[in-house]
Amino acid sequence: MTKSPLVLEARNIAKTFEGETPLELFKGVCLNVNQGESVAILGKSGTGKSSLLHILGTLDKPTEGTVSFPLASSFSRERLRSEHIGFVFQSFQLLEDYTLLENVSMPGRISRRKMTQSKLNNRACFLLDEMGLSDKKNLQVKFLSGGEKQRAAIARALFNDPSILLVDEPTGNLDQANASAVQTILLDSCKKYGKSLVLVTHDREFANLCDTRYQLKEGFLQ
Amino acid sequence: MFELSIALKYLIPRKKQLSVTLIAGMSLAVISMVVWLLLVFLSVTEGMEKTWLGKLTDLNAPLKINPKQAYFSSYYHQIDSMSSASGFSAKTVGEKLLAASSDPYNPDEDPELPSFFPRPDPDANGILVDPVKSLASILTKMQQKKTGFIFQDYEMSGAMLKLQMLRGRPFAPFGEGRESLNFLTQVSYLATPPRSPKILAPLLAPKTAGDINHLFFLAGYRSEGNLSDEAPDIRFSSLEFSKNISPLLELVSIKTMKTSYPSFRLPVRLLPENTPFSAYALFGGETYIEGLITNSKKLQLPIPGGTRLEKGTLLKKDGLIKFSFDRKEINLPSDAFLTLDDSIVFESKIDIKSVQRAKRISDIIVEAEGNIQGKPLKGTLPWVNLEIDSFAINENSSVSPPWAYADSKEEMLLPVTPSKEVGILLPKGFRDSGVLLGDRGFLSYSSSTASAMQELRTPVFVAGFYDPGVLSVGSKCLLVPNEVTRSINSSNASFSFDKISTNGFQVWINDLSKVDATKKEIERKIEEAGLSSYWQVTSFKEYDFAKDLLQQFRSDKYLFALVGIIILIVACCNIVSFLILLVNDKKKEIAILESMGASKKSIACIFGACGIVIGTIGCAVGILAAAVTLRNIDTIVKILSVLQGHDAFSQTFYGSRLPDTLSRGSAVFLLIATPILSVLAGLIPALKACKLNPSIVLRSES
Repeated sequence: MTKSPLVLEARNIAKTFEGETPLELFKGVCLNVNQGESVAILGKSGTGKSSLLHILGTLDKPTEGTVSFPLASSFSRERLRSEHIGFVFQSFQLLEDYTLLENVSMPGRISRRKMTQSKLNNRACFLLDEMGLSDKKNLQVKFLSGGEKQRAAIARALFNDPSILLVDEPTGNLDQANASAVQTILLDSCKKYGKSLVLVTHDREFANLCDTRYQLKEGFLQ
Repeated sequence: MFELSIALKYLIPRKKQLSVTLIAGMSLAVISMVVWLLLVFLSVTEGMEKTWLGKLTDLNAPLKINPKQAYFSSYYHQIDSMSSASGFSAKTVGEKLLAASSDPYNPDEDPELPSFFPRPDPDANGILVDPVKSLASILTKMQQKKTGFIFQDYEMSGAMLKLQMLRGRPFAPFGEGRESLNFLTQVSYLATPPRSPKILAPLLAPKTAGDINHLFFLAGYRSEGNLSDEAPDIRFSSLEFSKNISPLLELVSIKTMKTSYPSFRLPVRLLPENTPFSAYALFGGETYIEGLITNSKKLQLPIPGGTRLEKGTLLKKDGLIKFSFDRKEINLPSDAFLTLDDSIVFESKIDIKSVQRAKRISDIIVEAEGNIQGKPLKGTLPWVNLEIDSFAINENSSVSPPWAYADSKEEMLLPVTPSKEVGILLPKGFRDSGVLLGDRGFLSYSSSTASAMQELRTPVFVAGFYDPGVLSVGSKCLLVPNEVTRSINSSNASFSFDKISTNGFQVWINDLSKVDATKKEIERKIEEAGLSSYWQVTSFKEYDFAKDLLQQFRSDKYLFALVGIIILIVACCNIVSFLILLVNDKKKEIAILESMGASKKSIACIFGACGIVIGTIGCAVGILAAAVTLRNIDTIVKILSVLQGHDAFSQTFYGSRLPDTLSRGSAVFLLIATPILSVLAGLIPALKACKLNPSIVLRSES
């Protein structure tokens, strides 16, 4: 069996928030994620799981260490986020004034890959259909339920066909039924499209569904 | 471009972002108002500059070509004073242009030339160079090639103008021998009127009803005695009346006539049958003296002492006119007249048959239609105590008018009467002195003979008034035919002029901005023709009397532009506060967009685009408002004048109306400058947006 290529490689990541009393969140974090691999990072609130995820997704810079994407052809952080990374946040982070279709297709509009409006719409419709939201595509997101919003966020994360999804507490704001639906959709989609997954959660059951599990504890990834 | 679509989305007013919407609206309104104010101001200023440049160049011409001293000392100029063919007198440029020969000297007949006399200036073929005709030929060729290029020779002179102002006395019908005569004397400059109707016609003051009434008044007065400065014979002549009145009626079609207040008497036969009128009757004791009828509610006429005024109803029935009051009734004779306590206007038509028989103006019958107290009046009236109120000039009449007119060759002509009176144009300021169209008089100048100084007089009459604009000689310049100037110049001993600047060619062009290029072209052609030693070309920018004005215009323009830019910068600064507020409001969206791969540059572009859109819309609204304002500027000026209680803009400086043309240059400048300033104003908020850390925002907003 051939080993899957490395999608994300984090070496000796450390993050300290500067201030009168500097706060060291974590240090020496090393993480390799292979293609199609799902990784769960568990940890209590305030241990820096989301910060680590933002660093892995290039939204924030580490105090020390490097994050690299061996499959990416560009070192530009914007291009990495646009072409290789898909984010899913706990509070969905959808654009309130836009319709579902517009929200899902937004990464395509931002991307440098020139896509016509019809191609953008077709891709968004396809993903919404996958998420079971095709009948609500023209609704403004404020009219959607929490579960629907998170599914829309997953569709948006998948729009530019990224190699890795970085998911931050995706079920944190959902009830049990919606939470399990989102879990299924997320993991199935990653499997179906061969996407790697880094999941930050404190839900041990959800974490157990992932291939690899780490614990962020006392500033170290174990 | 997704940045623009996001920016547009941000600018859509929303209830939930009320403060942003309000600030955006305010920014837009401030920019619109500033652009509107600036554009209206710059357009009016530009229009004013054009008006003043027009006034400066209409009569003076934007370009003048004058002979240099070398011309006057040349054989070509001096030979006329040695030739019998030229009457032994030097010729003006205009005369040289018309002269049959460039060299009129005949060695067989004319006296021998002294040894110090200038030598002829021959061309390559040995023929005497004719600087005037050669220059005229250059200018003619340019005139054929360039539209709007017009040239003519001009001369200036001076004379004493003495006008007789013959006026009819109030309450006296014309030709009744109750005239008054006043004189107006003015030392005047004489100049050549532009021959092109395109230039002269717009400068001519429109003829007023007063002018036309005066022409009708003068129709029967003998013109002999014009040249007298004592009280001349101003007898009325029935013979001359009939001869003069018909052509005048052919030239002027009378539309309405106004009754002279309070001298007009309304014949009761004009009243319609069975229509009651509110009227008054004046009684001396029990005797009816006179009836009064009025349009107004209150009587204006004073009631004579010892009389009594009764208010009642006047009714014409079966030809009988009855005045009933206080249960009494009196009958008025059918040829009775009513005093009008008002002035009324009749639509009027002249009975041509009566004109043919007329010996004086009161013999002319007017078919009149009008109304009083909202009820119709109709009938014929003699032309007594009636003034022309409105009229139309029959432009197609074959009769030569007694005013300046364009002939079939499209050349402006000043009329000359059979008795050799020459029509002249006076600056419109003469109107304020009471001068009217048709007033007669003479130009006085002196000529020195071997033994004495002789006064010579040229009979003239007023053929119109013109707007002198900015003239070096102010409002004392009369426009007279060139022949008059020439004859005065050739014999004049009373006025001495700088002969270089008072004789030459004037050149008009369509576009004043091309005056320097045209000047250079003429100079080049003069040089090529080898005439540069004879002629100098000056543009209006070099006229002594215009320099200060033009410099002031230039300084004003720079100053206004600077003030405008400063105000615009202040207005655009509003955008900064709006965009800072917008960035604060959209922090979360900025972070989300960044998480999806939007670059810092894109984020900056979104807020830059917001600035541009606000600036451009504000500018467009301002331009639109300015266009509407300028279109209705007369109404606005009227309202401002009413509010202030006096004229908001002095007619002397601003002209009869403010300029109402939108300055395209200023509009384009604002259309470019406003978005640029808006982008610059948007830089600070854009940088602020770029500096946001998406990770912190997303964590804090979650």
